[in-house]
Amino acid sequence: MKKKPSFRIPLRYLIPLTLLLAIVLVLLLQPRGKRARELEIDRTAIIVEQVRRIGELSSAGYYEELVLTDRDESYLGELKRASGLNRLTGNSDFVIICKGRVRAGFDLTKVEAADFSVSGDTLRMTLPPVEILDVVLNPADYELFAGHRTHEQTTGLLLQAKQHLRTNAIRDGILTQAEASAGNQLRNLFLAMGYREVILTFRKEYLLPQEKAGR
Amino acid sequence: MTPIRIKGWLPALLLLLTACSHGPSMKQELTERLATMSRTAELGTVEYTVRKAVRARDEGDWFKIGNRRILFTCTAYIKAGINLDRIPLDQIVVDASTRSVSLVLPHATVQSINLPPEEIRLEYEDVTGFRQHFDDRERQALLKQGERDIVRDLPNLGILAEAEENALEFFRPMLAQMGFENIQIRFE
Repeated sequence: MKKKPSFRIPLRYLIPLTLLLAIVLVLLLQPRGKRARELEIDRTAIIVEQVRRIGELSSAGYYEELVLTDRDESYLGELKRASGLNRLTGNSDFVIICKGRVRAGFDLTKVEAADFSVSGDTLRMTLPPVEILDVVLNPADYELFAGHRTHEQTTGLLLQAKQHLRTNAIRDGILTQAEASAGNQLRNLFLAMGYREVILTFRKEYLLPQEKAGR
Repeated sequence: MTPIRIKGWLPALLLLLTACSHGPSMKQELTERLATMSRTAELGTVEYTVRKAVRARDEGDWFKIGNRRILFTCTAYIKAGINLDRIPLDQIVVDASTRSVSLVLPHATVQSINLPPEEIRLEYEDVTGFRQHFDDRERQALLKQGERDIVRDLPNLGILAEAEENALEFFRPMLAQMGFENIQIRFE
């Protein structure tokens, strides 16, 4: 009588097979798609620290999309690029796409009584120097395109991006635009109030804003 | 002649060296892609400074060993005011004989929300077991949620009511200095 063939797995194969099966299972159970499920933050309250009365006339806005690359230029970084090893290990460059906004205008709280006068149908007003009011680059305004950095390193790069935004906005004439725009707007408002002549002058100091708490 | 044998550890060492090449010599390059300028006419009358803790706990799935926790604190500067472009100029009524003026202002809106990167602080991060640290994208995704939360909670702050009150405080003295005695301002 013929003996039935047995399918018993030898013990020396059993452990590696079990491990392999476990790895396959874990991989299969990973969520599909590029990213695992998105973590959700806990609900926390907003604490109001300060309420400040302001009088800011924002009369020009600037929007810019820029790409900031933090390139690894160390010897080993160059070697990796030259040898093509970065295809295996990935290169260590870091690329951020920033979409920032700059607002420019006037701090009208700096207008003093002497800057404002009315005589008959003529209104005279001197506006304080035009300045950059805000450079906004919030977490929703940038995209991490490639590479990895620590939180502090990313913050450093974002600060550089903000500096670029400010410089570029000034270079592209945001301050002049803010003056022209505010002039038109205020003139129309005062003319609608019955004045025949509105004379607006601007203090011609293009002062960069003083740093407000590091902003 | 003896053949040159490349030992197994040599490529591994090279790989290790290149993998650890994140040196200090970094160069920032900048590419400007798009820039636009726009004319605005916003009168900001109030600024709120708010703080928020952004925290998340990742317990992971059953097959992941360990947990991760992270905590940021951030400061946001929120400005609100009125849009001067939306003042209906044809509805400004001036009566010189009685020195009176009537003005309609638009309702206040939020004009800017600014979360300066330097004021977003990573206060705490804790990783246990075989879990990895939060990467850049995960950190940014959490901060984005924090920003969304701040925007969502804005109506509860009362910032718009305060902005309108301050707008009145701004226009009244200015109109008085222009010689008006009876000043009527309303919001529509």
